[in-house]
Amino acid sequence: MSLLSVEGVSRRFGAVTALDGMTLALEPGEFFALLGGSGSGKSTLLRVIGGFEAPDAGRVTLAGEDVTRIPPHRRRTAMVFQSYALFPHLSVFDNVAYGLRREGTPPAEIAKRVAEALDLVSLPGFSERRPHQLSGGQQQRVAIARAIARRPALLLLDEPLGALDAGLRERTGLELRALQRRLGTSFVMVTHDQAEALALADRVAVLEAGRLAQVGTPRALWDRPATRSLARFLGGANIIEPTQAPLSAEEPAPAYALRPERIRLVPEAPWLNGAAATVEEGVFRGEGVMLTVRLDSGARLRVLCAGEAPAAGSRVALAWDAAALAPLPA
Amino acid sequence: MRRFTPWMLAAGLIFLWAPILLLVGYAFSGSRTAFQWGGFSLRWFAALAENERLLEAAFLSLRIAAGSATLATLVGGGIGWVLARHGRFRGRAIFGALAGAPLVLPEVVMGLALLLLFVGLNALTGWPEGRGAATVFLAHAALGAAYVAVVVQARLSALDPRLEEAAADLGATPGVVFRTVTLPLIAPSLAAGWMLAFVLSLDDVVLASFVSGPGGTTLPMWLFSQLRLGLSPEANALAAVMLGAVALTGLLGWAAWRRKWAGPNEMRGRVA
Amino acid sequence: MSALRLALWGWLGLAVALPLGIVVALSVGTGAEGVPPVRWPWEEGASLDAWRLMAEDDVVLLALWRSLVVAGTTAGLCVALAFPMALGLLRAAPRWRPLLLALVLLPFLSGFLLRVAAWIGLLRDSGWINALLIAAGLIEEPLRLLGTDLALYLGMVHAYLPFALLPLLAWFAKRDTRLEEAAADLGAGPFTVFRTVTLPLAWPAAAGAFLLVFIPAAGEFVIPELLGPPDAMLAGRAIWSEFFGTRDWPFAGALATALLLVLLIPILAQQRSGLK
Repeated sequence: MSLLSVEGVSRRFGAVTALDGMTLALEPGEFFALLGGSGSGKSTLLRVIGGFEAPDAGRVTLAGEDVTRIPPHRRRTAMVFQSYALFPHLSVFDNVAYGLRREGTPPAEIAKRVAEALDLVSLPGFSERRPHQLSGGQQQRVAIARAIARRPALLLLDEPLGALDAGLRERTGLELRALQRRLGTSFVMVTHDQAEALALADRVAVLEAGRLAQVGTPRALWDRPATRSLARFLGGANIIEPTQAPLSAEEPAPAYALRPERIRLVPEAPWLNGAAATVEEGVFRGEGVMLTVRLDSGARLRVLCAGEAPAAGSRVALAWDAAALAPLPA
Repeated sequence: MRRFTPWMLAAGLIFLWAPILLLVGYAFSGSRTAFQWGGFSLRWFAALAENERLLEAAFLSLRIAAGSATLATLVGGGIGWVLARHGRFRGRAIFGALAGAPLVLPEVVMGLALLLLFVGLNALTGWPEGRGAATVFLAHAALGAAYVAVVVQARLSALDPRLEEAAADLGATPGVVFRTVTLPLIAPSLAAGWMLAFVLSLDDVVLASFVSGPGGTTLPMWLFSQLRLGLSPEANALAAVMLGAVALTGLLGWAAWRRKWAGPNEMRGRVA
Repeated sequence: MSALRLALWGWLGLAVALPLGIVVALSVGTGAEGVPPVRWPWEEGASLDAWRLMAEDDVVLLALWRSLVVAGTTAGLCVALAFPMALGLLRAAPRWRPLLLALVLLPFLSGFLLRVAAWIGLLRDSGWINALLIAAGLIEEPLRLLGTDLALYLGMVHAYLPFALLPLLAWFAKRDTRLEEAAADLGAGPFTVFRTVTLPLAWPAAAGAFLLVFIPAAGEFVIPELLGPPDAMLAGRAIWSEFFGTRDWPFAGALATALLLVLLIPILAQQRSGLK
């Protein structure tokens, strides 16, 4: 049985449809990411799961119980809010203890559970500080400790890394994932950063205009994007059609996604899955040079070239494997 | 501009303070005439302490101010909360306009309107029986509530609604959310609103003159009638006492506020 | 609808809407002997007598007009003084700002009537200014200062300055000073920065501050009564004297309603500007 299931959930704000018949299911122990741009409906979905928005239609079930009309304070979900929403008038200890006190936990037990939660986020010894005396990274840890102290069935994280410095993001993300593994609690994370979603989550749902565009493991999303726009959105794949170059794929399709790193520069183009082209521009990318090339058919491709990059204007020959062509609908 | 503005600030401060300081300074003069120096003396403070009508009026004013400020804080706090947190309910525009109306109504019109209300209520229900301290109290509460509502609404609008959502998410029922999160966070603005309503009540002549009656002479009403006749040295002494009280209250409030809310956003929070 | 909201609707209806409604009703009532000295429109039918009387009364119409002039002048003076004061305050060293702010706000809390009293003490014939001028040998006889327009405006600006100062301070505190730095970086001198960046950006705040002073000043009663020329009628005084002196209640009601109607445009403008 799924831990969480969202069935046909719709939510409109005036003329704007934030969610349009969304359906999703979440397994226990899963780190799940909701990925999308602004206006994709990912935050609204998270707020519907948390109980902050009532859907206009559809059903939300948590551990087999219909919670669609259950208010947040009676749901076994816990939210780590964007920019954290730590109570400024309470100490770190009182922030983390807040949810436990609502359950009527005895003081000795509260002290133990708060210490435990702060330990889990590696923040012992900060109990008496006020939120404004903490750095952004520390505030984020307090917000997580506050949410996990109640041992929720499901942890919701709204852009948890969004307010952190770039240098801190990657490390904090890995710590978040390690924490999730240790707790075994399911996490649902909202993010607009695809690298973050692909790196941390077990499964990723990509949302577009209130609909589910695709859901799957990071590997599946990367290798087999379901639509053209997804192919472009995730890692900037090329879209190539059979009219633009001689293609031979594993299955026939009107178009294919072809990743820049899967295209090789070869001395001579093969007569299938290859083409001659002119280099238009090269941009240094650290791991190589991203070339923009123009095929003789007129199509443009992006090619990641790891070695010595040819100069603009030079002629090159390209080749790729049949397995690199991911079929796309028309 | 950079050289000009400090001078303007200084000039403005002198303009604000010079008349007040002169008035207070001359409270300590022994002369009979209000503005002739007759050597240092506390005789006018003594005279103040013996003027029973004035003391009575002052005591009444303090009671009315404290009571009406408390009622204004309860009602105005509720209005501010409804305006900031109830979304777009039916009639919100009218609700907001009525809530803000006392801020922009000329005092004379508001005084006239409230007097007519009391007269009309009396004719219909027999209450209030005559006018006096009770009607002044209600009039001041009506005025003060509007100011409290603005202060509380501004504070709540600046407050991240996610704080309240976070509390609900952590298992707090709406009542508990209000008690443990909303109330502590708007407490400073409730206190500020109470102070504002208190000062407004202590300062008001016009509303009080309209709605008051026998036994309802407030301190400003007494002072106003004195000033119509001319300045008395007792008024100087009264000014010194009131300014001292205001300064002391302000200082204590500031010290308490600093201890409790000292933080990096201190200055910004105060000006805004 | 929650019980709280219902109760607050009741309060607002009773404390604000109903009283204002009665004022309007009063203006179409008929004067009469007795207590209260009026026949209400629901007793004897509505009558426009008071309005007709007012439209023919030059003194009262002039009082309304003069009120607007006085309020406008006061508001203009307040904004003109508050603007550089607010800038000066925010440009002061941070550790002095709380003290300066307290110095600006404290007079506001010191009692409105006492501040008026202070001006009486300064301006009257035996007051400070005259004493100083006589001692300096500049004049022989005391100048008549109290009961003049000068005294009126000094008292009005003194009383209403904080109304202009607070919104301007709030606005200046959150404005983006980088815009001014950018202008300076692009070669604008200090005055040009002020003229081309500071002033145009502050315009809505200044307009809001103007209205915040203008609206209450238009109905002011106490300062004209105690400091202004004794014969100069203003709207507030006219309402007061019709009500308490002549006891012509319908006329006072019509005047109050007229003042409200005249102020409706600035009030709506102020509500729209969002500056409170």
